[in-house]
This record gives sequence, structure tokens and C-alpha cells, in this order.
Amino acid sequence: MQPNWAEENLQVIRTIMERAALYRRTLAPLMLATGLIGIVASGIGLLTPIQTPLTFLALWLITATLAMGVSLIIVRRQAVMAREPFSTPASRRVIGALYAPLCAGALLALPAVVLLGTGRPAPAESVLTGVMCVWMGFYGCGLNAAGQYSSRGVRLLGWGFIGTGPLLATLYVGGFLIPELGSRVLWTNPHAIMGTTFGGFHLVAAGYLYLTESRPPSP
Amino acid sequence: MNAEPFLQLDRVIHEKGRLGIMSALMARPQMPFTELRDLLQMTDGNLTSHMRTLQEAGYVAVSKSFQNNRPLTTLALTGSGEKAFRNYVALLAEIVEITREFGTEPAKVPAVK
Repeated sequence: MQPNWAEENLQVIRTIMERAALYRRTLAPLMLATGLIGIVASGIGLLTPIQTPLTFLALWLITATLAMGVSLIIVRRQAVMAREPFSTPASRRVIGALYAPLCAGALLALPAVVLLGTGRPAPAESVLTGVMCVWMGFYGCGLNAAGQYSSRGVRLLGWGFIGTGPLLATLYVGGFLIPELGSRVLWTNPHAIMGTTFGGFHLVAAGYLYLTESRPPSP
Repeated sequence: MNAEPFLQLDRVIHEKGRLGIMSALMARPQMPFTELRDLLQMTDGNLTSHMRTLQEAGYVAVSKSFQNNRPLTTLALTGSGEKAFRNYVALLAEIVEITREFGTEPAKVPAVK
């Protein structure tokens, strides 16, 4: 008998328990819904007659809240369909991983809301850019953390947002330093940026997850 | 090696397939048969055979129901199953400790009284 068989058995137990505890709900519909909500919000933002920094923040905070609500409804529906409890150790871990970065992102938007709400001449474009980049960074961190308990697609989506936040900030700063770069054109409508990133990335993730996720086992 | 913890190991759980089933059910309160089969990469027959052994030992409860007019078999760990599994893991940890402390050379291992 191998001398380390007991250790190997413990490792097998640990691995199986980790795999069994992974969040296994189908995430493609959730990503699809979130992506569509993002695209619709972007469309509303682009078409709305009032274009102020405050309406931008309000629209996207509402969009984020709506996306979370719809996601929870989808997950609950899946749990009901599978006749399993909504709250499981795995779902609690995923929510726990997302919760802190989302709260941090939302709370960091508050100073921007206060500053823009006072009506003082603030560099609105800079404030919005900062908020957007911070949102993307935090959201990416949350997704990446949640992805540790679910699927690779969620982790990749997280990295997509983590990479995009600093990239946008770099392009913004680069637009001042090198006007020839032409990156300042990006900021003419931040709704388009949010639609492309928040909406577009989720739609890409939905496609990826649709192709890679195993279908729920047939009973 | 001190043989005492090894002799106490539950033979029902010690088998690789059943150890996998018990480990998975420790992590999830209950699991559908098909999900467990996919997770452990077992055949239907193999899983059924191990499931029966565990059921007979009183470690696993099997319930059958219908979902969307199709039969659904669900496995869950019983109280005694959970206790047996915890005991098994504790014994494994003890064996690992003994192996680390004394190595695998018989001369270094204290004799069992």
C-alpha cells in the first residue's frame, strides 16, 4: 500500500467536496438578460433628451439594480424548476463574493452624485470617467471572485471588466496627453461606452456560457 | 505504522466510489442521481450499486419523485452517514499525522499495546 494513501484520500475528498459545492445553475440566461438590460439602458440613455451627468449616474444605478433583481428572479425560477432550495451554500458564496465589490462601487458613486448635485462647476466628464472605471474595476473583481465558485466564463467576464476599467482611464488620460490619439471622442456619450461594456460583455459571456455550460441533467 | 486507526476505518466508506458519493453529499444536502453520476463520472450501474450499499448501511437516503412527468431520484446523506463520514475523515487525518511523525519505516513506529 502506498504510504501516502491517506493523504491522497483526503485530497480526493477535498476535491470532490469543492466540485460538488460549485454553483451549478445555468448562467447563460442570466448573462443574456443582464446584457439585454444593459443594451436597452444604453439606448434609453442615448435617446433621452436630458443629458446630464446626474441622469447618467441615476440611469446606470437603476440599471444595475434592475439587472440584479432580474438575475435573482431567474436564479430563483431555476431553483424552483429543479425543486431545490434557492439559498444553498454555493449560492450564498457567490452572492457573498459579489456583494462587497458591488456595494463598494455603488457607495463610491455617492460622492460623485453629491458633487454633481451641488451644481458647482465640477469637471463632470472626469467625474463620470472616474466613476465608470471604478464601477468596472469593482464589478470585475466581484465577478472574478464569484467565478471562483461557479464557472470559468464568469471569471473571464470579471477579467474583461477589470481590464476595461484601467484601459478606459488610460484612454481618457491619453486623450489629454496625446490629442492626436483621438480617444476623447469616446467620451462624447458615456452611455455608448456603458452599453458596449456592460451590455456587450454580458452578451458575449452569454454566448460563451451557452456553448460551454453543461445542460442541467435530465432527471 | 500504528494499525489501530487503519483498522477502525469504515470499510463501507473506504471504497473509492462510495467515498466519492459520501464526499459529494457532505458538500450538498441532496443531489439528483444524474448530477452525482456526472460529477463522479460513474456509470448508472456503478452508481446504483454503490448507492444500494450505502443505503443498506443507513448512510444515504434515496427518494424517488416525479419532475415534469419524469422520474427523479435524489440522494441525501443521513445523520448516521454524516457521523460516519466525519469519523472516517478524522481517522484519515490521524493516519496522516502518524505517517508524518514516524515515516513508513516499521522500526520507527511504536508498537501497538
